[in-house]
Formats: sequence, C-alpha cells, structure tokens
Amino acid sequence: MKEKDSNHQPEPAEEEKLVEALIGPDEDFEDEECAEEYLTAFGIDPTTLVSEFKEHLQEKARQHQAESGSVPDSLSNVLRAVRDHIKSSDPMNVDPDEHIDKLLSGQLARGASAGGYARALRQKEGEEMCEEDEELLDALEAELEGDDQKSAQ
Amino acid sequence: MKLLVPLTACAAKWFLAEGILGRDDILPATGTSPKEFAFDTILKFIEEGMKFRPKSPETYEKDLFNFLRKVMWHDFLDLIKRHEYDRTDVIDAVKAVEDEQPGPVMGELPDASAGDGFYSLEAAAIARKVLPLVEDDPELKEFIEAVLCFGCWKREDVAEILGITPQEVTYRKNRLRVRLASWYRSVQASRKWASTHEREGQQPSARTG
Repeated sequence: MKEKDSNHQPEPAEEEKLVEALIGPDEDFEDEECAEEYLTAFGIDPTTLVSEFKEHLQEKARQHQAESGSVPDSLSNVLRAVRDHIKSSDPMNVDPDEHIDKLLSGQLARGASAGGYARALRQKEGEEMCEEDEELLDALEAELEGDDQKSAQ
Repeated sequence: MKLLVPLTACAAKWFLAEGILGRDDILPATGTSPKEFAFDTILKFIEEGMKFRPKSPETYEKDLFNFLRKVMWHDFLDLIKRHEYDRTDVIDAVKAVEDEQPGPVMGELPDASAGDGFYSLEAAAIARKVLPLVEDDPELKEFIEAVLCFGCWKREDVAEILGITPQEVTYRKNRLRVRLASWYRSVQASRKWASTHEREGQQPSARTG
C-alpha cells in the first residue's frame, strides 16, 4: 500500500490565494513578535496561553481519570513540563543567590544593558525633577552607555 | 511551549480568512476557537505519538512548527467540511438558478470584473469586504488594490507595481493583518452580543408561552 504523503496539501483555491497575498503566509508567525501582535489584535492574550494550555491539559487529564481511572504517562509528563515551565518563568521563583551569582559573573549583564538603565531616583508624588537634575542623569546615562559600547568592541 | 503562540496565531489567521471570504458563519456553531485548535493539535501530537522527523537538529523547531501547522490545517479543513451543510446560501443559490430566480450569492456580487477593474469575481468579492475597512489608510488601500486588481501573489510584484520596496510591502501586509484581526474581533463581539440579547429576549416569552 502506498504510504500517505503527509506533506501533500491540495492547491488552494484562487480566493484563498488572494487572501493569503493580503494577510501573509502562516510562516510569518515564526517571528514571535509578529505572532504576538496579531494575537493581541485578534483578542487573544499571548502571555496567558501557556497557563490556559495547562488548564486544557488538566481538563483532559480529569476526563481520562473519569473515563479509565488513570492518566496516560505522555499527558502527565507534558503537564509536569508545563508546570515546571510556568514555575521557572515566574520571576518570583528565581533563586536570589543564583541570580546574584549570575549578575556578578556577567551572565546577566547583556540583558541588563539591553533593558537600559534604571534611574535610582524616587520622587515624591507630583514633584517634578528640575532641569539640572534631568541633565545630570542624562549625562550619566550617556556615559554608562558609552562605556558599554567600548567594552563590547 | 514556544510553539503555542505561532500555532494559535496560524489558527486565528485561518478564522480571519474564513471571515474575509464570508464563510465564518459556521465557525461559532462548531464551538471551537483558534486557541483550542492549537491546544488540541499539540495534545494530539503528544498522545498519538505522531511520527515526526526534523530535517536537521538546527531546524528542529521550525520543522516541528511546519509539521504541527499541517496537522492543524487538516483538522481545520475537516471541521469546515463537517459543517458544510450549514452553508445554506450556496445551496439556495443553486436552487434559485434551477427555479430561474435570482440567486442570493450572485445577487450579492457586484458587476466587479467588468466595471471595477478587479482581477476576478473572487477578487471583487474580497475587495468589497476589505476596502471599506481601510478607507482612512491610503497605503493599505493602495496595497489591497494592487493585489486584487492585478492578481499579484508575490510581494516583489506588488512592490514593483506600487514603486515601493518588498520590505515595505511586508510592513503593509502585517499592518493590514492586524487591522483585519481587530475588525474580525469586533464582528465576533457584536455577534455574540446580538445572540446573547436574542436569547434574553426569547426567554421571557418562552416562559410565558
């Protein structure tokens, strides 16, 4: 028997080709930013997808449990992996010692500089910073950025 | 986990395409959403132990995305086919022709191919739906017209017609996609609102009757 070719896809109709020419191919979504922007406009929050997927898996696991009295290993393994992923991506779960070690060893330096500099200045609510202070901070920030660029070269 | 976002975006794009083609009326009846499509596809991959072989370790993620996208696409087509009988407008059109009455589908279409300069009747039907949504954006309007009047599939051809770079064509395409997604979202929200209020309106009479 001839093996079914999983890559075979029927030629799309003309109207489908026209729509694709207008809104782009599926491959555009390999770009994460592009996919997230589209989903947001569509009304789907991309930041909650993983946790919603976890709930979906939990529901499936409950169904299996109710129907057969057990949950397949494949499903429980994925559920565990998803839970671990959620846990590890939560900044509240970062080990402070490990984080400081990484900072001191420079492993997080790139990420920190990419995010810019946080101005360690807290004002009272409603109080505006004077022009002189603003200039001082701008100069300091430019100086720090200059140092970074030199060290990168 | 990284594939959840692109897969859901793909499914959402197919929902939008159905909306543009005016065939999305069956989608609410199926009770599925782009999210569920993506979730079920990944679950199917896990539970059914599908055979997947990446071209190389370097392209693993891209290959898996393409593989799952195809699985999901087949499921999407199956869903549409299963609910095809709901497309009463097409059935009515055939019946209308037999009865020598004007068919609603043909009646909806303007005499586009002759007068409006669109590439085909299909292009004219899409233009009728999409162009009013970008009235305020001449760049997007120009882009849509280039595609639908000249039947250009390739961005290089569109770029040549418009005298812009292919990159700019991509920007406009992305912008249009986001804009149409917002339109689709608002259409769905209003449909939901209408059906909820319809149900609410029916409830008292059902009780009293």
